Amino acid sequence: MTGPNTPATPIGDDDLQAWVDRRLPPDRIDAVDAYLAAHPEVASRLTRYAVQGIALTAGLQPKFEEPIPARLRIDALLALRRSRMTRHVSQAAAILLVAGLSGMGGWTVHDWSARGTPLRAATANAVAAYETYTVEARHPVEVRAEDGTHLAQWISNRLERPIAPPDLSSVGWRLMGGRVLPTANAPAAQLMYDDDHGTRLTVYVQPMGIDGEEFRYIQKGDVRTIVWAERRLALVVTGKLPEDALMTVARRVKDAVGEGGAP
Amino acid sequence: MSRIATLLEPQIPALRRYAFALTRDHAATDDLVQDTLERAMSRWMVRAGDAELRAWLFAILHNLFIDGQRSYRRRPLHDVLDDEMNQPGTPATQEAGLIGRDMLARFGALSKEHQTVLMLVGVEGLAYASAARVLGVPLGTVMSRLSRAREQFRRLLDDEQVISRPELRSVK
Repeated sequence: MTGPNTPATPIGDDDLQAWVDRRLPPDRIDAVDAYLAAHPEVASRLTRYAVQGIALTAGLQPKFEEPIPARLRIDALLALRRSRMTRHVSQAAAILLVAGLSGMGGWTVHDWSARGTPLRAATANAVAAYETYTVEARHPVEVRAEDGTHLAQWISNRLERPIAPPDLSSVGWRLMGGRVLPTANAPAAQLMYDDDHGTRLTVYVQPMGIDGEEFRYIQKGDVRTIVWAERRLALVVTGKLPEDALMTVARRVKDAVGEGGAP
Repeated sequence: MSRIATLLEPQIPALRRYAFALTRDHAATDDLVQDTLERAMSRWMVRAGDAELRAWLFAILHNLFIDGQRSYRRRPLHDVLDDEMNQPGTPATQEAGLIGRDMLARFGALSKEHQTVLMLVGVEGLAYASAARVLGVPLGTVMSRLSRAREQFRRLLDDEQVISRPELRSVK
């Protein structure tokens, strides 16, 4: 481009600023370096600029390295948002939420408070078990998934039904393991899953004399639950997840149950 | 942790650094960053894309600060200094804090226009075009503002009198 007879593009102040920031286009570096070699007073001023930028960054480094306050955690802010929304439009929002869920793929979602069923007891039991065991650091499960078929055999024996833990890996959840839980009637089982961030959810299974109950959605604080019944099993999926993520899990579990005896 | 959290949380230290440079107040910094994050979450679906996430967040923070719908009040400088004096720390970090404090006090004497461009380009390392978008000005304005801000900052740093004894100056 620049031949012997073409005057070079003059050095501009933008070139000089870009030199300070090391953002000069490669084809300008030589020209600016030559200019600065010929103008040492400009060179020393630019060097000052670079040094004061480094010093400013260093002065702010303690703030940058400070642990961030808990109130700025995104999960905390999400919870704050939800509680604000709930406070402002509690009834309307709840109805819209249920309507929104039922719009997803044709599942009907009933208002939980509309009528009591045996599912209500199973749900209470499932949520209590969720709250008791998902917070466990050392013993979240009684039998770990690594023990292979032992978990399925043990649960199937105690529940007197063939129960295989649903594979939720396609939707991002790993089976941690499970445990048998007492109920007022026959034993139930809790299966626990986690994801890459350590979030845990549970799938609760309880043999019952009912089936054909569609998805119901219940929210208590930030714990969300979807419950239904089929093949004479009550199934309860519980977690601190967004509604759509929980629905994805519930549908995957429902598919697994439908695929033939499992859980 | 949700996807939104994995994208936003890594940006928080830089947002706090930028907010602190503008407010020089710890509580106002976290108010400003919290408002920034909440606004980002409410507009999450309409953001430009993850590649520009950083500049987008700085733009939200910048607009909140400049619009001043909520006052991110800054207490008088000597209050801030007293606070920092009382912060626990090892001797080494206290020494670093002294250098930083003087630096920040002088930086605070710059106009907000000069402060923001020095922070975005010099400290946060935004490209000039990104800084122009954050500030809502043409690229050429960023370049000329940057040039004036650097020179002004140099003069403030060279000036022995600036903010050396604020409490005495206020008595006079």
